[in-house]
Amino acid sequence: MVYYYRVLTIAASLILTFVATSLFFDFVASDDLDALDLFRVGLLAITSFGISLGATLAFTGLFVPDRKRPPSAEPASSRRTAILVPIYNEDPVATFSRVSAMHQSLEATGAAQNFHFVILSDTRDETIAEDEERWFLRMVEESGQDGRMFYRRRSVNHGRKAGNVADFVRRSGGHYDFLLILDADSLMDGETIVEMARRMEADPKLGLLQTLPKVINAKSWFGRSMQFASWFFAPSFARGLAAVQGSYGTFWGHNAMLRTEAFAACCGLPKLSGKPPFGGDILSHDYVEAALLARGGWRLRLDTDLEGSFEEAPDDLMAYAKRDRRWCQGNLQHTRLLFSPGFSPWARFSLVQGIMAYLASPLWLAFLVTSLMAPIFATDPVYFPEPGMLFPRFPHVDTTKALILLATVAALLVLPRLLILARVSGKASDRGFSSAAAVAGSTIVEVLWSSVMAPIMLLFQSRAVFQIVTGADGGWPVSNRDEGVSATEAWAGSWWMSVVGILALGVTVAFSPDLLPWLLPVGVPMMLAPIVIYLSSTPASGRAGRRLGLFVTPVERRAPSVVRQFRGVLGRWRGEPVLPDALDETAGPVRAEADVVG
Amino acid sequence: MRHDVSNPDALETIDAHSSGAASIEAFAPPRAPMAMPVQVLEVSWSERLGLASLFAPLAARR
Repeated sequence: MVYYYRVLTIAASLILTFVATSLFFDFVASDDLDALDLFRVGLLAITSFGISLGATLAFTGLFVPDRKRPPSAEPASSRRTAILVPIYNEDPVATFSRVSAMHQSLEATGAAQNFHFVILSDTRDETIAEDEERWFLRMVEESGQDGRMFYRRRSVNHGRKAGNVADFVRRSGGHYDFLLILDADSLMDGETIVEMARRMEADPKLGLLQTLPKVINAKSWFGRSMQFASWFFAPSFARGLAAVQGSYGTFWGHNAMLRTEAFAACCGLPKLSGKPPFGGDILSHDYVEAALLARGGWRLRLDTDLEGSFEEAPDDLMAYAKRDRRWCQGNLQHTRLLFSPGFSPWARFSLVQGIMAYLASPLWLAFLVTSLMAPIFATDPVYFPEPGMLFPRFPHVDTTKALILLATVAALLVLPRLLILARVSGKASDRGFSSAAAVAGSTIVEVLWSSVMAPIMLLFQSRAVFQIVTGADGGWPVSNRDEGVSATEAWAGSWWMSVVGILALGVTVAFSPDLLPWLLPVGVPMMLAPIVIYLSSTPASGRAGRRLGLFVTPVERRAPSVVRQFRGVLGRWRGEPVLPDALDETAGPVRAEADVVG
Repeated sequence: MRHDVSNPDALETIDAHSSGAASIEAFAPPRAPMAMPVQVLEVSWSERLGLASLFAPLAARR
């Protein structure tokens, strides 16, 4: 069945790519074909394959049956699981509030005795490290569980996060059957954790079980749009991905359970020869670890039916771009590993997909630039190509084909979302959304908002690729989700986009005014990037969206207990009142206070 | 105490159950070493094509 899905998905993607490319070929060939045109055709072929693949995965996800396994009646696993929380200069209060909430949630299952929390600190900032120790001790004291909570800090950060986890496995792995790997901002429900261990125990060849984490606690317009996408669209995309991947599932580096024996045997990562950005520590280690587990004969599974898996995400475009820069470097580094021995063809294809996710941006940019250049370098039309012709032959530009091409590309981007809306809107209330109308409105606004963000991300990613291929190492930046962005920071980080946008529109007006309507949707968001970035990052923008009923997710309407517990602990530890979500029908200061530890 | 990663034996084995002390050192994870061999990801093309073994006798003769 997996091969059927794979062949279908890739064949459909290739057909769509062929259609888009041949439409464009006909369009550019209609008024003489030159080398630049052929280059543009090549660029479009590569980039449209990426879009087609994304669209077909979503289609597959829509048609794959949504198999929800009932909660298992089996007793909880008797195996021991280490819940690993690697941290690196993050806010300890927020991190340990999450751990505390997960601990409470596990306690409520009655199966907590086999689950140990292990904080693996790689923090370099001594002040933060002192805070980590203080808050860890407080957490242990309040929970009364000093036998199931551990903390250690490395003096040397060999191998970054992957090295941090490997260090734990080498020292303590023998004590645990399974490892639940989290990020500092991960939050998982106790029942989900127990169920994961149960599924790992039930399938002895299962090396990795990945959940689909959904975004929570977004505050800004930008963050809430991402949060909505993760709740509404991502499950369909993930179901498609899971169907196509089969037992070669994916690993996203967190909110996933690993079999310790498999991980230890297969996932000791070497340093790559040479210097960063392409040498040194492997940054996007999760993809490589997935390929290594598969090479070792272990199964990997993405179980999209597992609820109760959450994460936080950057709340503004600047922070998002910063994280993306790190992922970009990691994925481009995979060019070194495409021919690693023993990797399955699908593993290599997955690595290529990850690389193309970032190379697509500079390729689209090159396509735009060459499309602007094409009229400048076009040869003068020959009105009398044959001697003795009485009437001139005027060049014919096939605008209809250009419009069909535009409609095809737009459909590939938008149609999956609209189909998800069509399928899910009828069950919107059952799934925790407010109404079909609300999700329809949110989907339309999300599509429009994505088209505003796309040119900005195109420039961020193109710059990142350029920096990396020219040898700039992005280092190991701290992921701080709480900061937000000021107008000055937005301007400092994106003024150059305004320059690019103004230049692009100026050149178009001067040399190819006919192209202006086509370029406006790209050029205007670039020109306004600092304003877009700033306004979409403010909490006020998020509140405005909520007042309009936009991007409202189930977690905002009725937060799961583990999320409420987290908010309760965090509010109490910070000495702040725990404000309920405006739309949350259950949360409130009293309830949150009642949910605190201890 | 900070754990010296270059020397795994430097890690103290502490039974967190019996520590009783509110000190961070008491909360080191339990010691149970597990081998985690470093994987081979990069193989030179000469090795892939068998050229390395072709020249091995020459190298050995030297």
